[in-house]
Amino acid sequence: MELSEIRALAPSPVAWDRAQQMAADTYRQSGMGQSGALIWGQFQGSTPYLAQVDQERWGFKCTCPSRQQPCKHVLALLLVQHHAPDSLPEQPVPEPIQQWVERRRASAKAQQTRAQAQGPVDTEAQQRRRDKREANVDQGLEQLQRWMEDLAQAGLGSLRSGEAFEQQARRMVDAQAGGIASRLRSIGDDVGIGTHWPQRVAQQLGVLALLVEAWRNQDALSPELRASVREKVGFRVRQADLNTPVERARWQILGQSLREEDRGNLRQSWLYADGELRMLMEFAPSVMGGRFQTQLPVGHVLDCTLQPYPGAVAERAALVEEHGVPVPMTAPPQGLPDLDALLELRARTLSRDPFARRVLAVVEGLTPAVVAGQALLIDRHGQSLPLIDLPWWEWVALCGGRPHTLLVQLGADAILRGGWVEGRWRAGRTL
Amino acid sequence: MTHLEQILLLGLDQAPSPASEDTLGLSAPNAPWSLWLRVGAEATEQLAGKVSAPVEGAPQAPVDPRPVIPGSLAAVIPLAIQRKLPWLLAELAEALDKRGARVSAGSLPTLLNASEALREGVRPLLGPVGEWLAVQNPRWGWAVGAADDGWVRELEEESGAARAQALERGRRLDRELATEMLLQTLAQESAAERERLVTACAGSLSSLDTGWLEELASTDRSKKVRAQCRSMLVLLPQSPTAQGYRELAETCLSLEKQERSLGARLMRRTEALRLSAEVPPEQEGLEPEKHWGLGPQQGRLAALLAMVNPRIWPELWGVEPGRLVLAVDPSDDIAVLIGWTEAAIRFGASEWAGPLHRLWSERPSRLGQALQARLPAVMSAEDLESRCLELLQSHGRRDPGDLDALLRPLPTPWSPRLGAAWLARVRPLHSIHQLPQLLHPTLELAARGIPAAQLPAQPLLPGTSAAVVLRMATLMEARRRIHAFSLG
Repeated sequence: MELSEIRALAPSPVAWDRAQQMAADTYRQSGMGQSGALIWGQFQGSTPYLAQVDQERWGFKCTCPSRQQPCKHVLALLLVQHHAPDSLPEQPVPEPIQQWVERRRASAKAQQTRAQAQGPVDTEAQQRRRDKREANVDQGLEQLQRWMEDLAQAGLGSLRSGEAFEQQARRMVDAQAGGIASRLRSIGDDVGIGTHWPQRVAQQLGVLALLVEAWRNQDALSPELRASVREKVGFRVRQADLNTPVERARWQILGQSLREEDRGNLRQSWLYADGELRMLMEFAPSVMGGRFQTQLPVGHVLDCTLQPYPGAVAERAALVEEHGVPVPMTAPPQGLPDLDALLELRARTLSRDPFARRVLAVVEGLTPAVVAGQALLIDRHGQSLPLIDLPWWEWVALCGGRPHTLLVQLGADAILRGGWVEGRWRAGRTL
Repeated sequence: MTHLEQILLLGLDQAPSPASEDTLGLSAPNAPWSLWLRVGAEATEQLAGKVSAPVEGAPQAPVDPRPVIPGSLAAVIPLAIQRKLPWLLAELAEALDKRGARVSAGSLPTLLNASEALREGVRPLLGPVGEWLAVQNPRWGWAVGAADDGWVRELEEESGAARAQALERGRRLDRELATEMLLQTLAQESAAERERLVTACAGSLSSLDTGWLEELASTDRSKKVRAQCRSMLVLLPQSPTAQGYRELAETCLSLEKQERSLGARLMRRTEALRLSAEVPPEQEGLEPEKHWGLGPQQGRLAALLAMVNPRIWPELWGVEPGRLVLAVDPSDDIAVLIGWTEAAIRFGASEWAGPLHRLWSERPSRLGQALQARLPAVMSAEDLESRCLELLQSHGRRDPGDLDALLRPLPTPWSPRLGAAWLARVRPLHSIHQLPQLLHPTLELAARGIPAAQLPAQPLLPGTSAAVVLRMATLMEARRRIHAFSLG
């Protein structure tokens, strides 16, 4: 693998630094070897950890407890292979690694078999389950409305913390409205933060009230908006049920976040091609080791086919097929010409889906700068939008007061999520 | 905030005037829900209708054509910042300067946010882009030499340690104003606060402080404050307090040529110290420390000698400190040795510190150990190194703190001789369990002290993954990378 490809796999700069150090610290390495596309090696930490990489059916594993994937040991192993291939002598595959390879093969085969062997669907039972769940959601939203009405009577000033939102969120989980629950948690996180929190909370709860009304009147909505509303309430469409047109392109991987959930790891990746951004959301259950099978390194291009989920605004998509391996981006992505185009995109997005909380877009010719103490994003025409989130100084430093192609998330204000600087794509804070 | 949002903030129970109620329909039965819906619609409309604002052009950074350092070297920056190692930053800056390279612009905010203790190390790494950035953030004014006038407000408004620090800073920046501000309010402060503030002036003493310190030393209501003032006044040789102690001390001691007796020859003593007078008991400020374990008269003598710059004795008698230390009979006049040791530490008399350190190391006792442990801070680099070499080359049982205390104040990098001596003891060992106790506390010091050219390519103590060994290995690796980069 090229050094830049290995660098792009690193989940964080710290992991990369440690991996480099670990690869250089030859005294910590033992039992290194390779066989065909398999490489492995042991690294001495507080205890020895065995890292292994299958470069044919791309995948990796390490016995360390790190939640960061790939961990520093896997990265270090790839670095050793890159810098000193002679350190990995050709030898028979050790038993535990052979077992791992066989398990992976068996798992892939089982998946294939399951997909082929699925029998006819009991549509009546499915409809009964759907009706029951919708009734649950109706009940939950009735109860949410009563709570919001009480809150309107008492006033937002009566809130002392976000605890009440957490309680409501739990009720929404019980009512099978997971999307509403996560919105409530996110609004609750804003309570008491900064001087303008009542305004932010009022606006977000107002939009939530509109969403509740939209749910109740979904029959009157267009099929696309209805799909968006149902998705935002918490009804997920299974990948197998998608019937939207597939999109094959050379997708640029511009951002990624990894979050630990109760039962595994959740990864969101932002892919970009032909002016369209798609978000892949993948879940790796803890019981399966919390590891993702697909490698989507930020700053790389992957030739693959995606399929968008239904909705008024195509955003979330599923990965259908990879047609190659990720290769590093060599040029900045083409984006919107200026901030007015970004605002127009947002207005159009809201006109199709008024519940969209943010738009994300690549914009060219942007300069992050601090003018009169205010952090701003300035476009090539001298128009600006306020920039929030503290790492703005890093972007101001990297861009040096000159225009760059940047990935901007626009909510109430703008947040920088990545950009083409110093000759490569650099990811910002997690999305 | 819109009118509807304001109503939601207050709550409908504290509803606005009836006129507003009519207009907004807030008396309707479904008013609360309707209010939420209207706020939601308003928020969506606001969001969709947002426009950008014109602004003057952004300031542009100067172009820095120097190449950016490789990522493996850039990793030294977070290491130095997290572990607060200004010396490592200085080593990196030197290498960058040598190779004409710079740090990535993305690292500059991290460097500019570094704590005060690291700033000297950070400054040479900033370059023109760092300075351009610093100008834009008032918190980074330190990097471009902006006047630090925050101390005035802090001295007026803060209390406790923060106020004392502001005074300390103020005296460095505008000594006259800071001292004036101190004296304006000092009388109204509590005794503890007075003591803290007076102590804060100790690091920036000059003869200009003599007047107010002399006054406080004789008139302050608190004994502790008076004692603190006296301990500062003795550092000002022209002050009446310093001169008074000196005159008194000179009457108490005399030096005689030693008879060439067998005992004297065996003891290598060519002079003998005699006590010629007693220290009067009414002299304030000469209370002995309890841990010296001396009687009243001997204690007062030790306290008096501790207040007098020991450099006067070689001048007075024409005899070097090493010989003067030997001229004291420790069994009779240990008070003199204690007083001289305290004085050597107080006045930073390195020519005394070396002989006294040797003396106390040869007289094992709890008091001797305590005094000896404080001396390395004022010893000369030559004395420190020679004592370190002796310890490294001795294989007997030593106190594990000895070598650590001597290495700590030694300037880095060490001499190649010392580096080689340390490595010679550690390199043959496989694990930390084989390491002599004496060397245990020195691992991280060595990572910093061993000259870069001597840093071992192979790891030390390879059979150990103890945290201290890994920390040492990390630091050595960082320094090796810097050294390799500087060599090209």
